[in-house]
Amino acid sequence: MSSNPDEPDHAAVGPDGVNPYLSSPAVLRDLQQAFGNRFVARLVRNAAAPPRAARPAAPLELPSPPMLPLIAQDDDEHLRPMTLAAHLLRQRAHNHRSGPVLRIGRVTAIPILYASPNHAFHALKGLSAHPSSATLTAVETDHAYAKPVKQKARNGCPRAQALGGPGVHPVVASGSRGIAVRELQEKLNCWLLRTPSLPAFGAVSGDGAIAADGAFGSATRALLSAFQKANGLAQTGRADRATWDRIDALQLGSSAGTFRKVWAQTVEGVTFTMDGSNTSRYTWEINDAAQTLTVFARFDFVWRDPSARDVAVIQHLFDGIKAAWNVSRIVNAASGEAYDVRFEPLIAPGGLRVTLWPGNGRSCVDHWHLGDPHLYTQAAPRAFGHFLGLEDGYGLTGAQTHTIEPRYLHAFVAYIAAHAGDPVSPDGQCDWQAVVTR
Amino acid sequence: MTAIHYERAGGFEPPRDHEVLDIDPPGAFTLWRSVGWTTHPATPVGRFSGLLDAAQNALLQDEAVAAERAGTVLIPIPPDSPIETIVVGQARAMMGAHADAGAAWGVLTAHLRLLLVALTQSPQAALALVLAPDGRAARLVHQGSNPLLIDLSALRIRAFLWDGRMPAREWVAQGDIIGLPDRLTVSGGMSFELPFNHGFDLTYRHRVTARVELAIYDGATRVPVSLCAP
Repeated sequence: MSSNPDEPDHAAVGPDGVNPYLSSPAVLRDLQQAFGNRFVARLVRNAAAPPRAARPAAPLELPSPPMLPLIAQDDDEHLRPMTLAAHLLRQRAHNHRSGPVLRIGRVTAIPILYASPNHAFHALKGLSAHPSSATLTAVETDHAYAKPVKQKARNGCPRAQALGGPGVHPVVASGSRGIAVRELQEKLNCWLLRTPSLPAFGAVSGDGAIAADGAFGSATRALLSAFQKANGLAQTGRADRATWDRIDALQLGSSAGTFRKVWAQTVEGVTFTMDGSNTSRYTWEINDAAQTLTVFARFDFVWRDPSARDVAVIQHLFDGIKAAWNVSRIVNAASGEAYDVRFEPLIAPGGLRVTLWPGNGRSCVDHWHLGDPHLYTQAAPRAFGHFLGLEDGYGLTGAQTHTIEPRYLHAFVAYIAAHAGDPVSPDGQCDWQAVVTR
Repeated sequence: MTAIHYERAGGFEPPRDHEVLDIDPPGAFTLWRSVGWTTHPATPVGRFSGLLDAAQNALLQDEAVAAERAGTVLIPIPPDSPIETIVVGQARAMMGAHADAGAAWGVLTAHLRLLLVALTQSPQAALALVLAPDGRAARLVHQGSNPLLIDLSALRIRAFLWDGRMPAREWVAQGDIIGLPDRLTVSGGMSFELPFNHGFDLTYRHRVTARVELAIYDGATRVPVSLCAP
């Protein structure tokens, strides 16, 4: 075995080019029970093929000019500069996809689902040193993607009422790039695995799972069309509202995704809303290697006084947001898993539109007065909660700065859990809970 | 000719905005300001009154007539925003404090927002916060011809040290820190120094701003207010 779990273990391929692990009848039987004959046949067939070369790891040293780390040019975090920390996290996530660290738990399926059968082979191959019981556990956990939603209520698990409605996925089609495409690809791969008889769409590379690379190409389009056909949807070749609704209904999982919703809340008879260009929205990504859930919210600042434009001010604002929000973990009471939750504000055209005013003034969610000394510690962090889709009352009031309450974060957690493939009941009950650590 | 009523209320950080302006058809106005820093520049708080000059009132009346003709509008209000309500005749507009209502309502609203600052030049019974140029002393100053009852029981004084464009430190003093009775009436332009020993190390690139919270009385009604300087 390679000493580096992130590297494919070519040595596990026998001299005849066939992984000895896959020659075990007991293992094959387990896999057949879990995934069906066709999947196993494809695994064995591809196991004999030369393994795909591992994608070289990108250099860890990144140029970090003072203004660059804050800038994300568009919705495609794969290609755009971000904060250094975010970039490193993503890089680790990428390495994870290329040669995953297999764990027992919900996300065990991800390395299998991510890539072509060759990659799947490498992922499964890593199990060869494990006892079969561990192998079975991993596969069974993977199979949990297909389980129906649990309707049971758990004691002490708060409800997700504060979210106030479902998120809306962006429509993606050929040429689209970014997290939404990656979410689509992972979920289609998930559907592919749970579908006993695959449709003959043929164009998907390797005749199986597609690469979850965040780029909507021909393979993604073919698999999407197959999904639409199999589910009685119009074969538009693009992930439209009806398609996403069906995907959500099937509770397919992914390790990354998008959130977008029109924010609205009525307080004392007055309805406050964020709509149009300022719907609540963010993207999220689970990194199992780093045990983190990272949430990226993008801002598009408008300077009322362009001469005051100063990246240090933005950095200060972002520092305030992160100081207020990066204080929690999510914990799965059932499995014992825990992830640090990290919020990463970024600058990106098309992001949440915030007008920056000089001098005094009462800041609100999308108009920030730079002369308000409490903007940095109160108003901006509070606005960030609205951008996350949380309703009023999550604790960041003027008198209660830095007191984010888990019961409000739970709405956020439940949304991501549901879209990551974890069971969440319609009223927001799930195994995951937010724990404030500071 | 129509009466104009403007009101701004709300905001997430206490004390909430409570700014009310009424202008009658001949141009006589009354204004109440509670949060001086809710506008830029910041203003004194309290009661203001006077008479608009004829040209300005004529312009305002034209704008009000046009807005009334446009009818009632409701513009979506973003979270945490103070709510502006404007009533002219039978028409009403409701929007966030930064909203641009466009067309007739937009013109009227912009005008009224300017008056919210400009009309504080006519104090009736008001209180201003004055900060020394070197940022080392602050005092409250009564303005206007009428006495003003103030409540110091919840007095809170803050000093902010700014390093360039960004706040670097905050100093807070609150409680019984001034040696005066909780309630007192100020009049005749009297002023009193506030404890302001923030101890900031001031250099050429630093500056100090101040914010003071207390309560004042509008008749029998106790109103929490906030002042800032500069």
